[in-house]
Amino acid sequence: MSIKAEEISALIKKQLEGYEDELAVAETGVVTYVGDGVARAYGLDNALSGELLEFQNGVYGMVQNLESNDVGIVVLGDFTGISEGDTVKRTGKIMEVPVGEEMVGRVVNSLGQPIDGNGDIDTDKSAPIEHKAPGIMERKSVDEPLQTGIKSIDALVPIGRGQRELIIGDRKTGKTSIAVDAILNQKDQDMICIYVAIGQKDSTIRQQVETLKRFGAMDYTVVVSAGPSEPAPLLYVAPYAGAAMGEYFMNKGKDVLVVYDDLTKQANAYRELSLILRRPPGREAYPGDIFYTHSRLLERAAKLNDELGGGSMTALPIVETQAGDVSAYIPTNVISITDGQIFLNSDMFYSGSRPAIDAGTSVSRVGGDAQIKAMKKVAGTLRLDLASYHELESFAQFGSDLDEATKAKLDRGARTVEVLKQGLHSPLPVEKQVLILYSLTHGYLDKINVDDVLKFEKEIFEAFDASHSDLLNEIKTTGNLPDEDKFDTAVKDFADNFQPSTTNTEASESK
Amino acid sequence: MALDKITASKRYASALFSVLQSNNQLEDGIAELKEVRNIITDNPTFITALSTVTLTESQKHELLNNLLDNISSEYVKRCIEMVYEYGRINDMVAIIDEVSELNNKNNGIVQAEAVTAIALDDDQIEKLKASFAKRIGANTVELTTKIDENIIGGVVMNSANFIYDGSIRTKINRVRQLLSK
Repeated sequence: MSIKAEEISALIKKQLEGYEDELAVAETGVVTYVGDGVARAYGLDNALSGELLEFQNGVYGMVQNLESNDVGIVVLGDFTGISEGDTVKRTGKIMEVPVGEEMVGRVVNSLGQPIDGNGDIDTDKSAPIEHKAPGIMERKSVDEPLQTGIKSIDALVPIGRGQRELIIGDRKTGKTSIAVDAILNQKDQDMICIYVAIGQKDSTIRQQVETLKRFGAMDYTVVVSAGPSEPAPLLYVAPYAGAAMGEYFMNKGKDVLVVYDDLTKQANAYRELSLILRRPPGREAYPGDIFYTHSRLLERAAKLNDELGGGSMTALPIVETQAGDVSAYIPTNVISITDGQIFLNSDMFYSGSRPAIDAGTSVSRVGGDAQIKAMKKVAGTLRLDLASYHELESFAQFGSDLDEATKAKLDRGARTVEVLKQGLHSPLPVEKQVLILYSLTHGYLDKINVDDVLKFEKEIFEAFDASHSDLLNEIKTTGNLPDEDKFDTAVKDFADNFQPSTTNTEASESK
Repeated sequence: MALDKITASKRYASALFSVLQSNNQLEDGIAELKEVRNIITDNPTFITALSTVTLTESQKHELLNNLLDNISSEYVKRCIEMVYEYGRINDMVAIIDEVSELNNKNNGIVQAEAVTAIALDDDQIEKLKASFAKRIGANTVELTTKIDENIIGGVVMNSANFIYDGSIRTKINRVRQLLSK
């Protein structure tokens, strides 16, 4: 290969076009204290709150506290290289992260730098991490469903595009799995997903990224990760960085799903740096503005009006509780900010009904508009069925002498619980959810043994895929239930010909 | 909570400065304060002795009087006494620095440090002073020089919380950034 000197020099000239020979003037300060991810600097009289600063060794920091003689700075990086007496320079910029289409499919840190080893991200666009949420006139009410592919969510606590739905539960109850499944179900939905992992173990993130890759979900997903070994300020800014990346797509008229996993750890990181910055501690030692920290983040989720392109950003924040205590500070805060919550119950999780969604305490305040008509029809009575089942369940344990109506209710309840069970990473398209729930609410499952419900479900899907795909398609495209008679006959035909597994029948007869 | 060193010294300094100013003793006062500062920095044990608990009050007074007797300005004398009595003698150097800072501001004097790769001759220093004074709108510039070969060429001016960086090193870095884009 011959080296073409002219071409190269032309290229270099082009790149250097932007260079201007000017004197670099910067306001500076002197570090008087450094430690625990926080520094204080004397000077910097004109620094702005939230401004990005550069330390002598190239590490960046963000102004947090403005006091009479000094400024409190959170260090966004390794603070061990900074020592007392170092100079800090103002950059005059507010903290920004790179945004754009190029981010999709990448794993980045809170500063938007790639950490997946796939080279630089070639984007020239950036956005400030703190951005004011869309105002009243810029919004539209939520009117389009976001299908999570999880039966119990889509049927009982439907989520709309632009909604904020909290996922809350104890540790190890499947919170992250629900969020990941919701991301997996957005395949081919023209949706951009952003998974913000705050303080999650690096090994766990690796595993989640592998899962997303395996199901082809990395093609439309950005992963923002601030691991537990990063300094607290990076954990604190991670969700804002994720929101900024999401807003870019929302403003382009796209639909975005952001998962913040989890905000408890972000609150802990913010508490840590607030205490070190000597802000007065409040309840549970959280600083006074911890509510605002979360509310300004979640308010950025929105459904924009048509003039602005009609894009949306749906937020699924995750909060961890201790021993089911939802009245702790952070859970109550976030519950009151969001438009509903999905409560995961650890008892249900261990008794095998997974996802362990507690239908009684889970709500979606946007609700109605976020469901297709067909789903509304079949799922209308589901919540009531479950509630009365759980009430009777404990009552029925005392006696076996039950009247027919009670027995029927118990039977229906047991089957409902069974239908709502769903395997990990197996999201279900909405038309199939409608189909199985239709069979349930119209009593086609009542005759079947509880243990056979999953078999019935599997086979009815296969049967409809093979011979009634037109009906399924109709639900999918119109959102309405197809012609009642035709649909009912199809389900009835299948139910009549359904072969229960033999071992189970014997077992139940011997009871 | 006790006031921190900076806040406290600023208060004492501005009080002393305005007293000196309104009595037209600014020049003498400042000159004497500079002397006091030299004495303190030349004798590091002096302040330690004044703030230690092992000496009795009368012993400390004797020590302090040695200094005070040589001061002619009544205001400076009283200020030092007061600072001592309020237990802030540790901050005396900071207070004096603050006073001269105020004086500089009042007279349009700016202190600056010029960092260059090679030593400057007197002519160059004068030119630098003049152009820098023009740029920041000061009457006079008190320049100290420092040699740092790492900046390759050009000059870096450090002054009152601002850096005016005209070094070759920074320019090369900027070019490097453009090329690596």
